Amino acid sequence: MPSPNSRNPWMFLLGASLLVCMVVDLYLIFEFAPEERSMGHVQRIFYFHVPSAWVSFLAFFVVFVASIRYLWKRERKYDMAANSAAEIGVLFSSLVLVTGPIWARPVWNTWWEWTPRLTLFMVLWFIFIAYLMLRNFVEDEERSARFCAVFGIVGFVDVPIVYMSIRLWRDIHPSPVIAGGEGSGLHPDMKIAFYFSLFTFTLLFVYLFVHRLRLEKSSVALSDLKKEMA
Amino acid sequence: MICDKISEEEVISQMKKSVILAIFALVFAVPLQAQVARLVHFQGTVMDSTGNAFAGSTDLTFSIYGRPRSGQPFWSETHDNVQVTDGTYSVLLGSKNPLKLSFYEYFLEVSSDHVATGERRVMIVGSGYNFRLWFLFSAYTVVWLALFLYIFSISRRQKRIISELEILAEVKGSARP
Repeated sequence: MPSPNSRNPWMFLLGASLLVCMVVDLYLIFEFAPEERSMGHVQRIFYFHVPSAWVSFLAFFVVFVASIRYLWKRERKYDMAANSAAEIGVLFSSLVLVTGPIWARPVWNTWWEWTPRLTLFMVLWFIFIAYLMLRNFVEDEERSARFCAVFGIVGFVDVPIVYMSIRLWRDIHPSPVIAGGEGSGLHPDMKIAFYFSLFTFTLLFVYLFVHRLRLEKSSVALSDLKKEMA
Repeated sequence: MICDKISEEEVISQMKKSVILAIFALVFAVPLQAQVARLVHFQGTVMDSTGNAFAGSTDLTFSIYGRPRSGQPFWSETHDNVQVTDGTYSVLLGSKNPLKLSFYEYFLEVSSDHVATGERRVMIVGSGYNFRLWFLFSAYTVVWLALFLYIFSISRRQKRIISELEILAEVKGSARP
């Protein structure tokens, strides 16, 4: 039986650090960061839209690495890690797809445009929705894990394409603010808020991933016990 | 041993709920505070006692009301020696006394002991500003609601699995000779 392990001091430390970082992040986003000249306050969506996208990419990268490891080692723990990360990736990519249009409506005067960046990101979201559905459709656990591993590796190919899309093709989406070349960049105070937000969201990912992995382990333990008793 | 674990789980769960509620209150309080308009640029005109455009400097008191007539002002500040050119002046409201406005409409009254400022209250509508704030607040709400719901969902699923494991472990134990 998997232990809930809730009193793990590392988890407590992680939770406490996350709480502190979230409070500081809120201060930086809503108080510290200056108001953007042309967009006004709505630009502050950027501080949780971009970190959400970053976390979804990170989560899909974990799926990619864990899937390769699973196909190589055939150890269940890698499949569990991939499944946990995929779910978190879908959550954060959904947030990107919701916060993006909320920002776009007052700035672009439209909720959505079928541009390369937006379309490819939606494709990525569909790929990993399909990944989660595939898991439930295939009954045999070993086959399900194998199919999902292959699907996760192939699905990840879309991530670098999404990332590079605004560099490769003409797009209404704002140019990259980090390493975006001439004329791009952020005000130093905005940079502080942005990098801290990235850090906080990464910490949030770690926290959610550990909890989701624990759930996955409990779920596998239950499934094993049921099989044993059948 | 299982019972010990469950009661321990319940206590931790209660603690978690309290912490989550505290975070929930906090994360929604911060942007509500931040959406407050700090400074409002205001331009107005004043006349002298003969009805001509005033020129020079004068003290002006600005008061904000929730209604077009009567009532008590909920905010007020006085600007000393405001420079007036051809009867026109401009001030930054909120620079003397912190200004807190939400999404509603307000009525501004200007008064002075020395010059005529007009008797009518002027409606302040920061439509573009407030309109955009709604988008920011919506995006912010969506993000945190989704995260909290996900954490709750993980917690509920974990509880269900643990209780199912406990039942199966009991059944397995009682089935043993």
